[in-house]
Amino acid sequence: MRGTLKLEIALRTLLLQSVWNFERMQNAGFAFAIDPWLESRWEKRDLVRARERHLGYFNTQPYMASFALGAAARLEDLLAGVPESRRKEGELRAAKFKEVLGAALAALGDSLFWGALRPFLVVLSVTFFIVLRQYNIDPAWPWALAAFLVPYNAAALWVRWSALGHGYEQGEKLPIALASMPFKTVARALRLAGTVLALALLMATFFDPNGLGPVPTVGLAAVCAGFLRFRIAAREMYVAVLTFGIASAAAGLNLLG
Amino acid sequence: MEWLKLAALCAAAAALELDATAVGQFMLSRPLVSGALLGALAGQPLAGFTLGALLELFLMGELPVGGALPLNGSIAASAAVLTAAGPQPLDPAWSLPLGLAVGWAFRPIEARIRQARSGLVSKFESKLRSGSRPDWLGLLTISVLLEFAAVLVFLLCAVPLAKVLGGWWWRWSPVREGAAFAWKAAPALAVVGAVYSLKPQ
Repeated sequence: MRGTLKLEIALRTLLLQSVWNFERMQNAGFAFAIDPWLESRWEKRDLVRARERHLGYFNTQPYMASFALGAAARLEDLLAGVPESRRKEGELRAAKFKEVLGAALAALGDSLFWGALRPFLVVLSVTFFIVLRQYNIDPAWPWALAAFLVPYNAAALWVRWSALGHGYEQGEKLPIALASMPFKTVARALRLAGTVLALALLMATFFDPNGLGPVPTVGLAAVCAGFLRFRIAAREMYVAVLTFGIASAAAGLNLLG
Repeated sequence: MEWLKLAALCAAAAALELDATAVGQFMLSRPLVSGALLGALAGQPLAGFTLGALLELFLMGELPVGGALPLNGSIAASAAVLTAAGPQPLDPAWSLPLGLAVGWAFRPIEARIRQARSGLVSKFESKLRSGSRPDWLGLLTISVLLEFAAVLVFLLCAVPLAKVLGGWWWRWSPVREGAAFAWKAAPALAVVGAVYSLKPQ
């Protein structure tokens, strides 16, 4: 897969979730993205049928969808070479393959992009902001945003583009090829680096002159860490602390000394 | 004039929110980014970045996987920053929980938008079956505009309401003291949440 057709499909992936719906999720976005390929392969009657095929259920991580688009394009090529009388079986197989591939790609992509790269870069960005402010660089926020957005989008766009070619080259062998790609290793390394940075940030909050002070902050952080183990979200704990603060103040306690 | 500027900022917030699912996913809708950008547009970049960063860290573990509808971080950041800036600005310590409440209140509307899209796709599919050429541009435009309009109308109602109700509550001293306490504790809570989300599994 190459040239303007690849570029057109890659650009269309930016609208993959525009028509996201509960019933069939990314189906319309996927059909829209692959449409130029279908138009280049099928005549009118078969084209309607091919478009309908891609309006079936589909859902995956949006950047990783390019792998599925490439593989689906390859399967369309193969289907085009099958006599019409024997096409039904191939169509069913292609639909099943796409659905299973979507789930596998979602697991890899969610873990890499949502679960590792984005949190790591957020923590990096906030740390960078604090360091720049320490050196009196003002305004620091545009640099901090750049530290988040530039590497993130470079990675996401690279996957969106290159995965189309990989998917097309591998076709039905794509799951085997994916298993040998280092997604999990990269995600693990990013999470580890992010944890180290976040722990450094946590230390910084203990000694923040605008904070509660080292001892209350350490105590509060320890209690919160305990609650997190029971899947109570950080924002829920914040709301609990706010409620506690208001109730204490209403009862006449002065928590801020 | 200030209220007109607030309406324009709500429109900018609605445009940024489209990045969350509808267009691109360039992370412009993330609280960290939308908070800082809206703060800069409203003349308070530091408050915008601070509120955005806190919300980003709070919501780090909440993933938009499958059909999950977590609290809308983009709406929360927009509401927090816009209540802290512009006419009748509130203290950021109080804007933060108000933003979270507004982001939470948007969930049923988001669910409705997604349901409405199912209808759009069904109509599109029946036209396709009849052999007519697919109107992709029409489908995508309606879908994106629907989301933009819903977010804009919601923010135009929610932000002034939060300013008025929030301002009214702020007069009560326990709220001021409780919010100040929670504001001082917020960075540590947010970072603990981040450590927990990031720790290798």
